[in-house]
Amino acid sequence: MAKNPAQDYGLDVACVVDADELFSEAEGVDVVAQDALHAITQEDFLGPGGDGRGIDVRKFIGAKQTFLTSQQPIVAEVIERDERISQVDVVLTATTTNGLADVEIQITGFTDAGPFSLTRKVSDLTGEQLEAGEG
Amino acid sequence: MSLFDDAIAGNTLSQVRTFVLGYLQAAGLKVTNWRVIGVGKQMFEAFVAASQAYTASQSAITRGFASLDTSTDPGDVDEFDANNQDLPAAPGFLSAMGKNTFGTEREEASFATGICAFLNVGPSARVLAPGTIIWTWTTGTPPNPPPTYINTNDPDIYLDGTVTVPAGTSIDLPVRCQVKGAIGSAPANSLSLTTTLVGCSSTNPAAIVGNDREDAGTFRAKCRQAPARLSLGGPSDAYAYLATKTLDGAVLLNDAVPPVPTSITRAQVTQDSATGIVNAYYASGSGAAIAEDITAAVRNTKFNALAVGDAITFTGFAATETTIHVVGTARIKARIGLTAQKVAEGIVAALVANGKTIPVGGVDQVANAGVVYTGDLEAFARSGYTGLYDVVITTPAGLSTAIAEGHVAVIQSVAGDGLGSGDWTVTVVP
Repeated sequence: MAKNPAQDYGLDVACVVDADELFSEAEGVDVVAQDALHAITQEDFLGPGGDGRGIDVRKFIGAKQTFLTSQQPIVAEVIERDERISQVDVVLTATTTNGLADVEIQITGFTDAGPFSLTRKVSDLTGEQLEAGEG
Repeated sequence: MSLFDDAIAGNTLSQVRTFVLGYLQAAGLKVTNWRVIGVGKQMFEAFVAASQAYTASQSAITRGFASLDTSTDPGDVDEFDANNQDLPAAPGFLSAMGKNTFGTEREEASFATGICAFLNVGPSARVLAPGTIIWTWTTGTPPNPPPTYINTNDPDIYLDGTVTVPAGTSIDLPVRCQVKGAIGSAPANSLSLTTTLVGCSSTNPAAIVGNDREDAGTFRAKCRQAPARLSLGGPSDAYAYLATKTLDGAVLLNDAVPPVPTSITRAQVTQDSATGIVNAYYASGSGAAIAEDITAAVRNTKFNALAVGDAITFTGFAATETTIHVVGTARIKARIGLTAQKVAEGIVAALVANGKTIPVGGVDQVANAGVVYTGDLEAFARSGYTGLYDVVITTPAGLSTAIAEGHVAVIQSVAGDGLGSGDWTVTVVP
């Protein structure tokens, strides 16, 4: 019997960086993946249990690789708080984008409905680009 | 709950959440991803928070007009709104109700002001301008961080915008603390120059005094006393009211140089119709009232308000301090960030804060003398930290401490490390 049955993953507005004009829907593993990204780009959420629920990886920009490596299990733990995720591997790598310090985050998660993976540069998740609907 | 109760208390976030969820379900909501990190869930919670904020403003307005007891200003403790006391202190419903309904102004927090004697021993004259010299409270036991003070403008001193202090002379300069409230109140000779001026020194020969905002409970009591000032019978409430407010309800300034709002918060008035003797005993939040406050209160009562009738012998006194040393024990369940010292500090802060509201002469007065109940002290202590239990006061030992006529209780208790180095032993239960 599945530990985390996929039919409980839910349906949501598709919103990896911003919702589209038609408010398209996401379900299944896609919902889990976008929630994982949401959980690592914000520390506090509205509602019961929201305070301290997430972690904001954008504050890692400029950090040394040794620090980033030490943060990988912490970020993974935050993502794994989602009971739909059985296991997640997180790799944080110090990079440069257009000559500026950046951090690349690779997430590989496993759910009962299958795996998902995300690779994002933290500079792609800055507030300005979120507001502009880019990334 | 009646409609009136609902209007007073407003809806909680949980109640609003239930309402909104009902509407969304009725509208055929398709989102089923109810994890707090979900997009739809966050949109839903944003709407809940906005709706609750809107309904909270309605109930706040209702409370503001309903009665003195439910009306508050931002920054006051509000039993219906836990967030209110975290707001910056500012005039609000309570101040407006006090002024418009009871003709009484609430005293706002004031900058501590006073005089610093500036001595220039040379070798040359100094030209000083207002706002250019900084003092710091360095002597005694200043708060942390120690407050700083600046010289304020006075056209009688800075005649052409500056004042020249020849070598070998001194001058008195008015100064003002740079932060508001009683935290800037410094005892005499406690300030020293921070601005480096070779050959110059300066300190305050007298205390520098500032006040916190008038406590909400104290202000409500003043509002209730307000009608008494119009009575021709000379009721005791009129004397108590005029100790801190002028006849037209404005904040009374004391006789200090420069004058500052009086720090009197409590007064006991005793009357004897057989002898015509009326005595008023004045106290501030910290204990006996200072002389500058008493002279101002007596003059205001006698000559400004003409509240003292013919054949009445009225005298104003400083209340006599009766120190109550409080020692005790308490228990609390362990949790992250909690230490015995923090808990003890919370207990002492609560004791001191509540002690400021004990009436002059104590409670349950008989022939003008009353008591402070040890059980009340326990209740004060228990309110000092969330989760405290088994709070036991070992000193004072009896059920109550007697407070004589004209005496004001002053709570004395030391937090220490919370493990017995001070007056409190807190057991953190694992």
